[in-house]
Formats: sequence, C-alpha cells, structure tokens
Amino acid sequence: MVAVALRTALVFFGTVSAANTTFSFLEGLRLGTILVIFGTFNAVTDPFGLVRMAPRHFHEPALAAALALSIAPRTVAGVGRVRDAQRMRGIRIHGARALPALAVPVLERGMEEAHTLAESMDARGHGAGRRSRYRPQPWTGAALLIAVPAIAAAATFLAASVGGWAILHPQTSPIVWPEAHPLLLAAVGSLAAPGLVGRPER
Amino acid sequence: MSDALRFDGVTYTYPKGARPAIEDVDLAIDEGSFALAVGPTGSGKSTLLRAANGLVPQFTGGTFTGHVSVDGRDTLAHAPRRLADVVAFVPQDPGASFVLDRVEDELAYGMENLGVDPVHMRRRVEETLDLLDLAGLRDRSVRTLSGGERQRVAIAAALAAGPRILVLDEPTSQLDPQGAEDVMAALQRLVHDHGMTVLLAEHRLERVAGWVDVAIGFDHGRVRSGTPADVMGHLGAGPPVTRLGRMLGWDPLPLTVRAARAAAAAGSRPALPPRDVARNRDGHGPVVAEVRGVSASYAEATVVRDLDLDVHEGEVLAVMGRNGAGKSTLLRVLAGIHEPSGGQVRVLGSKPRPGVDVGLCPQEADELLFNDSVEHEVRATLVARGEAGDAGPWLAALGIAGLAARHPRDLSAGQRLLVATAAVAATDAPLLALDEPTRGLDPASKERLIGFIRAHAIAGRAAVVATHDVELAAAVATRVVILAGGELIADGEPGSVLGDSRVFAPQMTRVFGPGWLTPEQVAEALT
Repeated sequence: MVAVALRTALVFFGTVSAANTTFSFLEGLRLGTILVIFGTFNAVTDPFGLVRMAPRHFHEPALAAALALSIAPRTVAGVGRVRDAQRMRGIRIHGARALPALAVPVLERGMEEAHTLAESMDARGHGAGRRSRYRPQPWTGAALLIAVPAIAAAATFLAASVGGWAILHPQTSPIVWPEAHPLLLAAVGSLAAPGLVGRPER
Repeated sequence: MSDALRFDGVTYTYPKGARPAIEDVDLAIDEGSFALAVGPTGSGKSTLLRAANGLVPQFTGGTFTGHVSVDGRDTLAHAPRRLADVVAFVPQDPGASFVLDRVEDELAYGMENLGVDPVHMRRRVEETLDLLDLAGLRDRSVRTLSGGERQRVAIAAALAAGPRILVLDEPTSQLDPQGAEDVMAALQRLVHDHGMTVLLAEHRLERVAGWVDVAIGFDHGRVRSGTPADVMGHLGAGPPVTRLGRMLGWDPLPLTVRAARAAAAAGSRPALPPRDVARNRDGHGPVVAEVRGVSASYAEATVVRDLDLDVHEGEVLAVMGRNGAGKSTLLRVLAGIHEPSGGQVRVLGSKPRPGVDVGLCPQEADELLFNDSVEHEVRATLVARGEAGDAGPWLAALGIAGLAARHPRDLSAGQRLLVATAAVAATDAPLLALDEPTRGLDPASKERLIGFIRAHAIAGRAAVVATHDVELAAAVATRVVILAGGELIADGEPGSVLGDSRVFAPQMTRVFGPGWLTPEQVAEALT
C-alpha cells in the first residue's frame, strides 16, 4: 500500500498531463478502495465471531487472525489512554522529544499484555491437543447469500487476472475509454446481494 | 487428606535477578483448603502463585531448583497446558488474560481446549454465569466491561474449566466491597461444597482474613504457613481488627469483626462516639474545586449526571460507590481530561489545566511510566513543568527512595503504583486526584501513602481519592461522597457516611458502632 502511494505521489508530482492525472486518480482510487474494504470489514464483522464459524481445522489460524486484528484497535485505545495519562501529570505529547513518553508505555504494555495473553492461553490448555466446540454457529441461508457471491466475485477477478480475458488495468497512455467485461460487472453487482438479507436481529 | 499442591525446596531467581524471588520454599497445601498468601509487596507472592501451574519457570526462564507438584504432577515435567485440567490461574491484570471477545465464549474457551463435550460445556457455562452473577453480561464484549466486571469474568472463565485447584492473584483488588464479598462467598462455596482448593494472594486482609483457613506468610522470599492467626501474628500483619487487638493486647488476636466484637464485649468499650470535627480541623475552608451541574458521557452512555460538588481547602475527599458508578469519570472531569457534556468545572476559579491545577494518577498507573529508572520517572514530571528539581523528596515522601535507581518494569505492581503516584504528585498541582491508589499496596506502603495524602491537603490544597478501599477512606478522608449511577447519593463526614452504610462501613464501625473509623482512634479512647 505504501508502495502504491509512493508511486502515485511520484507520478503526480511529475509532468501534469491528462494521462498522468488519470493514472494517479486510478491509483488513488485503488488505495482508497483497499482502505474502504478494511474499514468496512472492521466495522461490520466481529473477527472473534468468525472464529466460532470457522471449520474445526481452521480454528487455530482463525484465532491467530482475530487476535492479530484486535491489536490495532487496542493499540489505538492504548495511545489515547497514555496520552491522557501523561497530560494528567503535565507532559504534553507533541514533537519527537516527547515520543518516548507515548511510545514506551504503549509498546511496553502491549508486550506485557501479549505475554500475559500467551501465558493465559497456555494455562487454559491451549494446544493441549483435545478440542471441542462451544455452540458452533451454524451457516444460515443469509450467511451463504453473503459468502457465496463474495467468493464467486473474488474467483471471477482472479480468473480474469490469470486468464487475461478481461482488462483489469485500463490503459492510461494514451488514455483509452475502459472496457468492462460483462462477467466482471456481474461479479461486482452480485456483491450487493447482502442488501437483500436486511439487518440481523440482535 | 492428600496434598493438592506441594513445593519441595523451591528456590527461584528471575533471569538477571540479583537474588532469589522465592527461596527454599517447602509448602504443602491440602486438598480442600482455602489458603491465603500474605506479605509485603514484592516479597514473592506472585512468583509463588505462578509457580503453582508451572508458568514460573516455563514461561519466565530463570534459575529454578526444587520441585513443585500439582495433584501429583511435576510442573517441570508437564507444560502449563497439560496442567490446565487440574489448576486454573487468574492473573493480577484480568483484562490482559482474555482470549476471545464475548463473555460467554470466554467462559467456554478453557473447556474447548480440554475437549469437554458440548452438552456438558453448555450446562457448565450457564452454571458459572449464575455463580458469579454474570448472566446479564453474557453477550457483552470483554473489552467494554468495567474493572470489577472483568475481574468476575476472569474468575468465571478459570472456574468454568472445572479445575480442582484455583489460584488467584489479588482477586478483589478491582472490586467494590459488595463485589469482593460476593466473590469470596462464591470461592468459599466451591471450597466447602465441592472440595476445591483455592490459593489466593491479597493485600486487603479485611476482605479475606475471615474466609480462609490457611495462611502462607511471605518475608523476603521465605515462607511459613500455618493458621491465619499464627501467620499474621508472626508477620505483624492483619486487618484493622487484628491491629486493634495487638494494640490492646488481646489474646487470641481477632481476625474477623465477629471475633473482635466478642473480645470487645468481654473488655471495656470506648465511652462516647468520637466527634468527626476533630479531623476536619478548620471546618469548610475556601473552595479549591467547584463542580456545577456536570454531566459526562462516553459514547452514548451517560456516566455522570447533573452533579454538584465543592472540594474545599484542606479536604481529603473520598469518592466511593460500586464498580461503574462514575468515580473515575468524575476524577477525569475534575482534572480537565474529559470534557463534560453539560455543566462546568472550576479549579481555583478557572477551567482546570491537567498537570497544572490538577494532577491525576489513573487506575492503570503503568501507562505513565516510560523512563529507565524510578528517579528519572519523577524527574520527567519536574522537567515538564520547567524545573530541574530533585526527585528525592517526592520519592522519600512515598517511601520509595530505596528504589530510585531501579527500572520501573522490574518492580511489583504495588511499587509501580507508588512510582506513578510520586510522578503525578511531582506536578505539585494544588488538587491531587488519585484513582484507586491502594491496589496492590501492602499495609506499610498504604500507611505511608495515607501520610502523604494528608500532608498534601494543607493550605490552599486538597486531595480527591476514588476508592473501593473502605479502610483507606476511614483512615484518610475528611469527607466522603458516595456515587450511584453517576449521581451523588451521600455526602458528609466519614463517621456518618461510612457509619450509616452496611456496605461501606469500616471494621471499627462494625465492631464499635458509627463514628469509630480506625483502630488507632479506638485504642486511644480505650487507654
């Protein structure tokens, strides 16, 4: 993602032409899309809920992924708390010199929490080799309606990329009006399927 | 009876440790005992607890000699996960031990790892939810729980796996008095009715001394076990009733309010209830902090509602109330860290500037610490206010001058809390606010903290202390307010507010009636 941004910036600050601007716009759009996807994923899914839905053999990787995903929000919350805590004793965090006052407690506590978590998982029998499942979440029709189009769309784009039967990267020098393959359009359209499901009852 | 837990000649030194954390420990804990580890902060209690399921040394490294056996299994030969079916451990910081997100899933996690069958598992989760009164929280995310709720969930999660031995490191330190009592009652039920073995470490002896039947006394890494009365007598430790008994020469030493009442009935009683005004020397001085119609909320939840409160010069105000009553939020609003959603706060006539007008030591005090030595930690605060001053007096005032050169990370939780308190106090702000300042403090450190808070609240200054520790409030407060649901429900002198409460009454009130707060006060009246 950083590489994409860097490339975009380099191209953007080069000669300004319709072709370059379009190219930059498309690269920016790609970056934006990635951010939107991650944001949406974090907003609408509960990674730990997915652990419960993961098939038995995928339990370990699902748990690892969920714990990894939970690090970012926890670190953000930690940064806020540490910033507050330092303000309470008159240390304002701005500028590079104040960085240790923020980074050290955040990282140290992060490390400590990770260590406690690892201890706790071990002490609670993680990896002892026996495993059963508590209230596994069944796959419902609604869940399938969300999952199947998503997988199908990903597969279609992958096939297009590997097979080369559709244009995924529109040409920008010279600028050509992009062609859209009907199959790709259908794949993208199918992603709207969850809209048919409505809100889950809570 | 057989030994549930056995230590044979155990000596353990942390990696890079200068001296052993525990030394030459021989200890046998019978099946079905309710055992308490007691001793000064940093004396090796947590280390011993963590050695009980092999986390020490399997996770920590270091030098370990001797043997620990759990239900006959050697902890060096079995990884902690292979002991999970017999022993469960609840660490000091329960929040960090959560693996999953929903309370209910967290309870099931240990059982899933042990391969408990789903039908049985479901039933046990329900039973455990009831046992610790958590049914209402079952769908909540553990990250949104209050400190006390997290503590109960952590205990429930350990219990649900059905261990025969339960080891808990300061399980009541985050709980309000009622919550602590409920947890102790639940643990006792497990011991009495189900033959479980419970080993816990706790500094707030008034909360646990009456429940346990074995005590393990720690003195600089060495241990000695026996009846609670024996061990506490030997250590010179004990809850306020025991301290009183010692001052008055009672024999045997009482450990509970009930025993103290019996002993007091046999001897003379203090004549008249003391007058509170004695502590509030000058009556109401000028106002230091002024809270007018303040409401505060987080996300969408209102935590403090339309609150009015004045803090006067010379006052030590104790803010009490159950977990989640809004105490911490009130402190954050007072310190100018949290913007109230309504009303206004004035400290010495103007909007409070954090770290200047108000110094606040948060509950998660570790979040302050970033320097490589205790001295530098305090110096950082001094430098921030533009002084090249000496950290020495602040350290001495809190009795941690001896730790000046140590790295905060290598200290015990209680010692780190004192370091953070010193670092905040060094702002020299007129209003000092402390959020739960006695977590993990041993009685000696607590005594020094009390002296420090009193000394702060003189001419032009005041202190506000949010706490669950009724004995702290009884010893230090000149005024007590009680919050419930973010509203002020009681406000007055400690003798009347604490004396009028079943939940917040200190031990002396329970023995001698309203107005009596500390053993020193009673002993003085009786001699």
